Amino acid sequence: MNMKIIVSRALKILSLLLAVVLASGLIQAYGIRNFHPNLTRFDGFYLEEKNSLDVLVMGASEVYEGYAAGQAYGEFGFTSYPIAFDSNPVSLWKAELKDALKYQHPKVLLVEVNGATYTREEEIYKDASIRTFIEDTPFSLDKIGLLRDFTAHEKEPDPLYSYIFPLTKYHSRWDEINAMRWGCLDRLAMHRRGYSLLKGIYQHIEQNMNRKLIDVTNEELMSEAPLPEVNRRCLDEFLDYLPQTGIEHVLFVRYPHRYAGKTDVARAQMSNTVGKLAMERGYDFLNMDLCMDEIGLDPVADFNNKEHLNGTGMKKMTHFLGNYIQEKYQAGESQLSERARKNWDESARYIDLFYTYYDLLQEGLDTDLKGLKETRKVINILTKYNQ
Amino acid sequence: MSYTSIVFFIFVAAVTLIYFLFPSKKYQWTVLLAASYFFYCYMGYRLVFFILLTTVTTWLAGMKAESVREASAAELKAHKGDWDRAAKKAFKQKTQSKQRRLLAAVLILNFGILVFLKYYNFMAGGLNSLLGSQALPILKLLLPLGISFYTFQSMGYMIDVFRGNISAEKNLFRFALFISFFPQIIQGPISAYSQLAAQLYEPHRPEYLRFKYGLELILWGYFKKLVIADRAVTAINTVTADYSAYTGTTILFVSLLYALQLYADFSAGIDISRGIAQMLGIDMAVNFRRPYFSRSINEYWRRWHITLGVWMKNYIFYPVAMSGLFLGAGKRMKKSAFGQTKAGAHISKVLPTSVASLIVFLVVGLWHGANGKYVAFGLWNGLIIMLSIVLKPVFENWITALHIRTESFGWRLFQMVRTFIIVLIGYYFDIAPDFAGAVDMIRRSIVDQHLGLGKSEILSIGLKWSDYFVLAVGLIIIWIVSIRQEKLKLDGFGELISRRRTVFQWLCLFCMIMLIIIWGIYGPGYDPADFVYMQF
Repeated sequence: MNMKIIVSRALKILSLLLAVVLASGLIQAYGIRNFHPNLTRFDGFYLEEKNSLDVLVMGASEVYEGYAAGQAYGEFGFTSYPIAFDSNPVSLWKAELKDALKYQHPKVLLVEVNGATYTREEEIYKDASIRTFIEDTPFSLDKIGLLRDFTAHEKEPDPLYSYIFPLTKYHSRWDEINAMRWGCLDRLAMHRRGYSLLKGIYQHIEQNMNRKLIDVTNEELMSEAPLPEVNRRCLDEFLDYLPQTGIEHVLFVRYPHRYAGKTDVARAQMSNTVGKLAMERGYDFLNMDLCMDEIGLDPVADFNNKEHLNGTGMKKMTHFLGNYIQEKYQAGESQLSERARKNWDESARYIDLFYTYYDLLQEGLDTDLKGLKETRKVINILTKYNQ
Repeated sequence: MSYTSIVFFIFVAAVTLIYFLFPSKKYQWTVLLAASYFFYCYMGYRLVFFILLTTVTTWLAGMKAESVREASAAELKAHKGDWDRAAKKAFKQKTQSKQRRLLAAVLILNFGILVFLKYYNFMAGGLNSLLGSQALPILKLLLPLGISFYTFQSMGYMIDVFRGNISAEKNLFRFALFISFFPQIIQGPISAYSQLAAQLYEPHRPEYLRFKYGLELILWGYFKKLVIADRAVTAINTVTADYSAYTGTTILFVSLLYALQLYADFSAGIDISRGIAQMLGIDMAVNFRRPYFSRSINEYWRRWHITLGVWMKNYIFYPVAMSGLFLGAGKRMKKSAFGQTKAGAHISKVLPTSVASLIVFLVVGLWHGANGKYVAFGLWNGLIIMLSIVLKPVFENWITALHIRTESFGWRLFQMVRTFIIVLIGYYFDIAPDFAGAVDMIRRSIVDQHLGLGKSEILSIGLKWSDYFVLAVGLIIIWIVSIRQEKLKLDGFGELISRRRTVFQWLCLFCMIMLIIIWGIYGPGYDPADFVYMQF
């Protein structure tokens, strides 16, 4: 057969395949996807300049609703980032840290312990959690083993390919494209900018205290409760791994919570057990449930719900925690490039704008603020999404 | 190994690769045989015995029938000078009777298996309720994959050998491939030996155009199956599970949806099968030719499940219509007083064909399943065809009296709509739980119309507006493709788009792939729906 024809046909087939792969890739990356700011937060982490973070913050939703890295930089000069997502279980901590350390080598690691206190096994091996981690972080072969561990706990697990090619899972959500629009536009804007302005924060306007709160004494909050066996095993694996990371300081923290029942109190007590186990290995533990006054938190006005701080609570909390980290570990030593410093300065300025806008929204004033970009969209969309 | 599973893609890719790389071109067909039995066993190895039994008995009987015929011919030749005409006739009759007994034995055995496995419980249940006892036990019978298809195909072969139309296959393994060829085993087409066998056994080399057209046909099949059929099936199943909970508007809507779903599903399965075979160098029989463009129910059955229609025509219609009994009845009627009238002359002329049509469609109905509703489905189609034959002169008179131009667009459109309505009524028997249910559903579709309520119900049967949007787009695409195919008298999808400019062709393929990726019903969270005709 004529060589010219063979080449022409091969080129046509390759072009078609390439076009399909490119289009699917684009749709998977920016279109039909699990809509959640977790994706934007992780994207932001990987956009940070390599080895430019002084502090790495790990945990579940408490972290990104109660810690503003831009504010900490503005007030104390250290760079930090929350690699956190909702219901982040202890079973993923080691893998998450291992993954993050490929890009950053922080001086301080801060671990919010709530993810070690989930009492049901399906919370520890939750499909949504492994999906968030696998789908929202760059894929690597060592994640396959983790994936198998997780799916082994499922009665009817999704096929492995659906984690690696999430489009096969989410393609049917094409009709939710309108809801995904803002998340997609935010990410596109962030990628064009080259860094995250808000460093992964997430906030609500409405308060959602739908359960009656109970009073809990300090004695109750200071006592310990045993961890479920699975949690203990995963925590031990994480603690065993920490010395290999070369991180100088590791601080385990319990974020301030409100209490609506015995389960909440048991979780607080299990947090103390995590803290005790961490301290036995030579790490620090700070139970901030016991520092509410010191932080200046109002038990009603500064919370969105029993587990999460609101914007004003986040501001106070970041100030307290930032101060604690800086005083105890002198974290702010990063040698940032000119560009990275400029970006962090912009983030610090922008978080002020965010707080201003947040306050205005809380007062019911949806005002256009000069220079406000993604904040407005983030709060609006997230508020809408959480209704 | 469903057609929509990753395992199936890997299987087809592996078979194609091994087939074309197989060192001996003479024995290339053995790859297909091995693949076909692997496929069959993968789908359910426990019932492989039945297809083996049909294969072996049919092959042996075919060989025997041919040897009897050859021996008879040799005997006749040897006694060419010795035997008088009467002796020759007696000998021929003796041989034929021997062959007939053989044919009957094979037909009874194989159709017996089919009837027993498929219809025993239906008949036992019917008899029990008739006698008001539990005399016949209801058995847990599993139906071997593709039994209706491979039984019909093998028996078609047997009859053709008996008639002397084809030579019997000497090699059991080659014959086994003809019966079990994996692309056709799930839902046909029901191939004739003369059309398929030689292609299966001859060596093939990979050809670019065959690959291209084959893949395009497969793609078109997946579009119809994953984007349209498997989406529509949710609403159909929801409503038919408890149709009494819905208004006639919704029932009518769902029956229309079923017309789309059934066509998309069945033709998709056939397209995928034909596409795979085409890549392997084998042209399987066409099974669909835009059936909803039919202008009469007769034409519809020449366009829908064509290979079943051809089988019925060759092996039931003609033998029945041409039998002494039917021809004799026609002649007797013609000689009667009624036969001397104008109407009587016409009826006596068409009696054999019209009654044979009724019988054929009764069998077609039964072929679809063991349920009174399928019998009714067959009878409905048979009666309409019978009436159309008998009343043909009346209709022709009306057309003349009304000065209707039969080739005008309006008349053709009327005929298409009329035929579609007749077909749609038949579909009610498919989707209803039983005969009484079908009649009730039809009644409600006519008298129980509530547009407002129906609109809200339609959104509560498992599909959202976005799904209906996809179905509408899918329908438009099928419609456009069908119109083009009809105009150009083309059956393939690839052949159709290859008439356009290169850029258009590849753009078309790109869009098709992307539509399947985004709109297809596949992936975790979905149970892939089996092909409708797989159950038959």
